[in-house]
Amino acid sequence: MCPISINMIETKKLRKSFKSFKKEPGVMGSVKSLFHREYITKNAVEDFDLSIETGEMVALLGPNGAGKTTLMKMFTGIIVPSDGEVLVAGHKPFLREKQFRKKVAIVMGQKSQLWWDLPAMDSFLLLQKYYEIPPKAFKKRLDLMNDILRVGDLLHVHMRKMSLGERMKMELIASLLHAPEVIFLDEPTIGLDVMAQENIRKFIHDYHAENKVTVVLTSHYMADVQALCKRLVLIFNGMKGFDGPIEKFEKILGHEKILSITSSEAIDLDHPLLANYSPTFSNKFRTVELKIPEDQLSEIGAQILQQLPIIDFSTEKLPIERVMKTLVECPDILLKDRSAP
Amino acid sequence: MHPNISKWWQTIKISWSKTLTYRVNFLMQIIGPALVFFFIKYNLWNSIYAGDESTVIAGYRFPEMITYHVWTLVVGLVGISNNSAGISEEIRLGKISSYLIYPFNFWEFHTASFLAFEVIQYLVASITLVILFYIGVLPDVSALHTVLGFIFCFFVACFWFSMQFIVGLIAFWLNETWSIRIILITLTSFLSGYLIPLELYPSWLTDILAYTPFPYLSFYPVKIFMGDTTHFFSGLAILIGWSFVSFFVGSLIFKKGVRLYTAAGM
Amino acid sequence: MKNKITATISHYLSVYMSFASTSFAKAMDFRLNFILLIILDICFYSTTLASVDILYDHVTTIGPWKRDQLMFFLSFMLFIDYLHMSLVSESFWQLSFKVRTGELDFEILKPISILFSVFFRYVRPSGVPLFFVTSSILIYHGLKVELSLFNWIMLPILIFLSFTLRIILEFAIATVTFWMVETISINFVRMQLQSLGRWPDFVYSSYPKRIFTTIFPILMVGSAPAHFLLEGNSFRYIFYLLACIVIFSFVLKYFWKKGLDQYDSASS
Repeated sequence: MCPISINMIETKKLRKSFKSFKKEPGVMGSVKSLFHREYITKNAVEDFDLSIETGEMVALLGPNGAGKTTLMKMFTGIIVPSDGEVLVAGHKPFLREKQFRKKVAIVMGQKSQLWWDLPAMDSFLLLQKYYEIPPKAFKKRLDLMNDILRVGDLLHVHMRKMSLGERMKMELIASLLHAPEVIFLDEPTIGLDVMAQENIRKFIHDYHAENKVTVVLTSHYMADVQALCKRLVLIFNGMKGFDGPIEKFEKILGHEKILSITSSEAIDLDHPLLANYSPTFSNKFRTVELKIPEDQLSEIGAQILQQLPIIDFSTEKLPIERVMKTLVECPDILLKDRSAP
Repeated sequence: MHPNISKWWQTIKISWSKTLTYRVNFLMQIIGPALVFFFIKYNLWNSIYAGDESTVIAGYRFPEMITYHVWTLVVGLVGISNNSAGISEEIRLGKISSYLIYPFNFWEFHTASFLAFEVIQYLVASITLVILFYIGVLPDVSALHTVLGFIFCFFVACFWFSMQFIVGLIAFWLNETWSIRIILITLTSFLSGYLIPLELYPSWLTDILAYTPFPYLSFYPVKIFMGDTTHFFSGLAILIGWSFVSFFVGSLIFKKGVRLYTAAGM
Repeated sequence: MKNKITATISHYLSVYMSFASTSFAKAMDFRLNFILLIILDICFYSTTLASVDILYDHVTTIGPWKRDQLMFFLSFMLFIDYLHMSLVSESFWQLSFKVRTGELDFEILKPISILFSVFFRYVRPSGVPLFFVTSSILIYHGLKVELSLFNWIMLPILIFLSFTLRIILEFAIATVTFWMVETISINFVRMQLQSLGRWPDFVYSSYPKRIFTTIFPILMVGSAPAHFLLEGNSFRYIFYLLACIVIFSFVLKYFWKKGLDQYDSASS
């Protein structure tokens, strides 16, 4: 056994590359590619260093195709890294040891591990056999999760008859039955309605709080991230772009808050109070967005409320959403940030 | 070009591209049947005749028996091949909805793919024939009978396609139709003379088969290739007749299926 | 040590029971399919047997064998086919699907042999009624060739060995799925090798025979036991069968591991 570190996940210079081939359009292109193929190697993950402590809940963010899922698949041993080191729960995942497989779980929002043509309960019973869970413990864990998720009779309904939200609940139960030490959640809330998203989010939060497991989460919904994670890792084109607490991430673009106000009448474009805070107008000049330095927020806010006939007044709820959007549009910001001393 | 023709042409081109993308599959499609012929059929009949040139089985000497099986190989390529793959899968996966919106319907799409497939199969069959001829497995070939046989085989393919189309449509009611397809293929290869020439069968069986379309799917086309054209026109008439019947049955089933499908709102 | 082995066996058995029971539950949902599979297999058995029977209306021997001997060989092979159809064939088709869609991900995560959970996942319940059909055919032809008591005792053992060799060889072929998305051709090769093995080894001329009894011994599946049973219990056939099983299980193990390392889990 290797020395036990307090880190659940540890990677060094991790890399994964995939090969694919180009094809020209049309029948002639097809005939050509029959005899000759030009292969391209693309690094899906490159030089990735990461360490996650036991019990942490970390969000892994990045645009589509950035390499999040590839990373998760390397962490769980589904795919084998091309280069570099990776250690999860003290094991090298790609060796796929039985003991390791008992310690991890992955939930993928876009794939299902449950049997489409059968009730969830049949799949759960099969999982019980796979993981050698004693019947008592199995029943206890199932009841426990049933209490929180309230799936009840749905256990005996065919999977294909369930809604997306119900199915996701089942997927979560399925992956947690064997009490894994580390859980990977790959877009667990994708495609769900607002209520279902919130239910799943709450469940993940409570489960993590109670069981002190390590969780790595990816999601395109910043609300998930905001509600669940303290730490955030950003990945761009297979490389790490940011790693740190959410509060710090919010400040990447500067220490400003976005304030949005709506007035009952059109606002003067050159209103002296607004001019300094790069105002952007909309809604027939009745709504304006301002960037206000954090330390001045309360003072300026109070002045605006006094001077203008305000009918709505709000600061943004999800600052990371804006940061994310800006970064996806121009990732150079991060590179500059990194090269700065 | 007339817009409708260009739709067909485009669909045909796309199916060619699809076929060529999977090059190992394509290669298998070309050499697979010939390999099977050489490894299994040639050896088997060689062993049955025990190398004796004078043995006659139901009117066939060894070279004639081999010629018979070379032509079944050709009939298998262009006539009764798997020329309608994916119909049931498209229905089962609900892709049929898009055809209900497209200005190119389900039948048109699959018929175009079928035609594209046939063009490739005819090429493959011709190449196979040329090779077999040059290595001397096929002693005498008549150009006229080869052309007549190829023409006949096209009608075999049309009938076979409409049968497979019907089987594919059963997917509206049944979640897996491959078993029916394999039943059809198993029975056809036995009853059509694809495995063994029908002359070897007991007479009571061939008497019954005479009333079915089966012999027209392998036995008669092979006979035409081998120079016996007695059944050419009657065979064509029968195949065209059966094709029309199965076409109408198919469109009837399709209408019923679509009604069921849209009603269920899948 | 002994405890560990029994624990492992009971673990796998309990998982397998679960595989079987879920397969049954599913089959009962699609009853027409269940019936069609039975019809399909009966069609297959009868046309295969009838073809050979018809051939023997015109010749007295094929190679050294008379009608009864070849029919016995064929019914033995059909019984192996039957086991194959009922116990593993569904999983072959599922493997290519799982590799293409990336569903194999979940199989890899389970704390059990991946080879086991991939290839023994689906059982065809239609095998239960078909057991009576295929075993009757085998017993009928066994009586016709007047098997001795010793041979009757050996028969189940030989069936087990033949079936084992057959699936090991086919698993090895299916492993190619990891390198090649074009699974139609893999399955095509697999099926053609099956039909190759449905004729005794002496049918084949020197080169194919040498290849398919040594490099890829698919002919041994049926021919080794048939020679043993029909031609005076020469144990070298059984040793040969065992040797093939041992060697090719190592080959399979090697390529299976290579293949899994190659797996790139199609992204959704």
